[in-house]
Amino acid sequence: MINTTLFEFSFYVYVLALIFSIAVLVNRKPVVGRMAFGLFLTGFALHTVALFVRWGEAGGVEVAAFQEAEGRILQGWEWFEVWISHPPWSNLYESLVCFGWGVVLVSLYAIRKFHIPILPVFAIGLTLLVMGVASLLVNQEITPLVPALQSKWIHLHVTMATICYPAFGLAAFLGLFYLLKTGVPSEKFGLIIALTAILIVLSVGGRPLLERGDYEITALADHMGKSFPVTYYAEDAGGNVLAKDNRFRLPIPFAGPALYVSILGFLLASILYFTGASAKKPAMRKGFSLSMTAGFLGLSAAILAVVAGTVFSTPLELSAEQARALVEARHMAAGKTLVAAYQVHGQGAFRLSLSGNPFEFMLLVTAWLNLAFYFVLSWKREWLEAQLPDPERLDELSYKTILFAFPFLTLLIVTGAIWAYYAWGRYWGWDPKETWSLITWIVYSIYLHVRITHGWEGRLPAILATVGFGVVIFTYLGVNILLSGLHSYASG
Amino acid sequence: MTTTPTALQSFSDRIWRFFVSLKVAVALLSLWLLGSIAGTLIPQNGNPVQYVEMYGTAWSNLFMRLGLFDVYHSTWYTLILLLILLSLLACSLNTLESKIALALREPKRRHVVGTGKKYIHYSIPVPDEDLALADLRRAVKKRFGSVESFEDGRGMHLYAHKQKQAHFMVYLIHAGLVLIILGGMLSALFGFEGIMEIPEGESRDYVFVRAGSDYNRTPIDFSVRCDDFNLERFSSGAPKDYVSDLTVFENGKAATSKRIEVNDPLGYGRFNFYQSSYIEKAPLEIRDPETGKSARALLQPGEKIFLDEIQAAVSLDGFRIHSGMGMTANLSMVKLNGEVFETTVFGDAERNRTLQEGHPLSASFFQNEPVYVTGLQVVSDPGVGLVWLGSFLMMIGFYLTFYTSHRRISITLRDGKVLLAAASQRNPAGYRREIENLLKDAGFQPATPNGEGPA
Repeated sequence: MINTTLFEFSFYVYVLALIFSIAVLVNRKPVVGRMAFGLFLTGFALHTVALFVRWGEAGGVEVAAFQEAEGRILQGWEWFEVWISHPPWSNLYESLVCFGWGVVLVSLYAIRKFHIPILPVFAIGLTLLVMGVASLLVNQEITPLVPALQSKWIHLHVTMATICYPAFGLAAFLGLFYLLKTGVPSEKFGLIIALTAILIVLSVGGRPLLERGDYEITALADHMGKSFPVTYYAEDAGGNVLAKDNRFRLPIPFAGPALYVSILGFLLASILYFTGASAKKPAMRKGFSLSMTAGFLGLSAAILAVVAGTVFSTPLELSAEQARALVEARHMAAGKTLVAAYQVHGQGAFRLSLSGNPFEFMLLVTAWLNLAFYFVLSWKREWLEAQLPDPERLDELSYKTILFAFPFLTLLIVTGAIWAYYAWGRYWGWDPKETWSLITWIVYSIYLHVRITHGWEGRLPAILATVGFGVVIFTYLGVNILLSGLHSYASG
Repeated sequence: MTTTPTALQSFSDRIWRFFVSLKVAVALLSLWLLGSIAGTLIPQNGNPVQYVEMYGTAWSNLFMRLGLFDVYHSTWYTLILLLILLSLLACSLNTLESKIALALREPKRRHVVGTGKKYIHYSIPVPDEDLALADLRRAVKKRFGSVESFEDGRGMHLYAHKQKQAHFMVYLIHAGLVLIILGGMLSALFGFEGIMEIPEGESRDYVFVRAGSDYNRTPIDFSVRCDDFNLERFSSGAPKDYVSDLTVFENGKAATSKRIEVNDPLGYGRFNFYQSSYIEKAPLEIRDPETGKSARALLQPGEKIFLDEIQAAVSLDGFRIHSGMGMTANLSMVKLNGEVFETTVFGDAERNRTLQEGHPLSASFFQNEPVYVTGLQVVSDPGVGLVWLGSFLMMIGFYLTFYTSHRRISITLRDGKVLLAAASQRNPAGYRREIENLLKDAGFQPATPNGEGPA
């Protein structure tokens, strides 16, 4: 498919744009800044073309499916209607590339209007994370729309999301800049980043990391030209299902111990912060930054190990029996006996790939980027602050961005409700996605009331704006990955 | 004598203060957040057995008592929502007073007084006060529609304001929200939701209503017939589209009919019928070779039935439809005399005969395609209109709140100077530009705002 190549191409242009937007911070030549903006714009143009190309390709798929099902050839207006019926936002891959597109659109506007030199770095960074995770997804295929998605409300619904989610991201960056500019100590940023990193490492590593000290990732196998995560289905002697559709994971060498080092470093840093924060002794500060460095090195080593272990891994030629033996060994170690372990997908060579767990990998990368931000902050605090406008302006811009995005969030929820009403006969069903969207709405309405009615300015709204985007991301992706619900891109 | 009204007053006063308190509002919202999050983490309305497996007996008993398995319909959750509604109403009423003061009373002072971000001040020397006054009057009138002018001991004054209604637009948003909550309550209290399963060509006059993890059969006072059901598949076998032709009969007469599909329901009276699913049933015919008796059964996988005619229980273990290649069904049967056996049924009669040679019962399909049963979601929702109205009001309210703003201006001419003071409820930067343009219209070259306004 041409569109996925185009998306990848735009990804590389964004990488170049990122390099230039970092370079302009260092050497301050306007021509470099113009290059950075130009590259960002070029990436955006490619990205837009890719979206339209994918739309056209999806149209071809829909027309073919329609003609096959109805047994006749479509012509004229009828053909056109079917051809445009599948815009690129009906599965996880498409949703992510759309979100990435929205992030770039909003960022381009903000870069042009707000004149904050470090904003492009953050905006392009977020774009790369989103596009990166999309490019790692195993399922990038175009499949015909299922009946529930054949509704005109989906278009309005997705448009609202594409506008408001990136705007909330922008507001969060501006809130973060505000906290930075108003002198929140670098150690405090460090503490929050360290605690987040611990949470990320523990949730990504899961039980294998805690129980066996291994970091495992899902094995993939190719079947009829497509990659599938290897899954298995197992029963014990009593006929109880032990693992149904479970993903088959294999350890990456060195990654587990490296993650342990990172957890210990961050834990130590947190303990030092809590015990010595009031004293503000130089020794505590030094210990804190050393532990953070240790944690950072551990995390970097783990990410390198994962990349090396997947990119350079040789496919494992496992027969069904060998794979079964591996599963059985796992269960025996856990004190369970296994009578049957059926493989659901995956024949032949098992291989380890970053595509096995795109979100887990991206979470690790996010933790790493946060830490990189902390180190820049602790070394070049004054320089960073000098890149930012007055706190009042940051505060106002963040507020205005949320003011702009909030009605769109409301419309997002309302159009979702209308769609649900036509599809399932109820406008609200307390589905996890619906509930979390309401939680997001309440968080931002608290923000607005705190600002407008109670006139609070400054730190509290800035913190709310930053945390709010976390809630947005959880509603957008976390709910689908961690909780079950109706939104179709859940299965990815 | 006097103590009673005071006690009563202080009691009602306390209740009032409770509901208008920010802390209480935040506490209520936090409780709501916790409850809602719990509801998304714990699977709702599940099977009791499954809960015991997941959480153990003690925990699942506790969760059950706390209503955590059906959070959104539990009493405490409804109570929290109700308290939030009251708090919302109380807070809105509470701020109404100060807004009335701002919008109606303050302009009566006819001077804009104050310093801060939202205030704009100019002090410009003029050679001719009367000429300047005439120019300014014209410019203000052009932008504000009308302008008051008066004179007192301190000089000549102009005063104008516009969009005072902007103070009240936020109540549109709140009213919208109240309507949505009321609509939601109407839906929850008086709404009806059930499932109807109608085999193609048949009609039904009852629906299944969910009660916990079970369903109760509930009669309705009309009947619905599924005239036709059509399923279109993609080549992968996934359903592309499914449509049902429905006719509603009341008192034996056809009242209405429509072809429905996913996203396009049929409305009848207060009910809407949504296409939600379909079931493919195996059209089985079982024959007892000894007695020569036979019986027909429509089964879906996992379903079991006892057939009187042949004195045997039949259960369908598996049923597959091969595109263009007929059907296969796996059956297990238990005769009343204790004989147990399993068999596979094919579309090909000859193949069935050879395969089932010597079996105590013989099975076949009585038609070449499965019998389709359309799955309908039957909904009556008295609150939905209010919810849409509330949503609409809210969106209008957002627009008017964010894009209109009460703007005031007062100008005093004294000692050869124009003293201008202006204030905007929102967006002072935009208002500053407007004032600059106004001054240009009046023939001034405005410098940066400075000086003190007229006192």
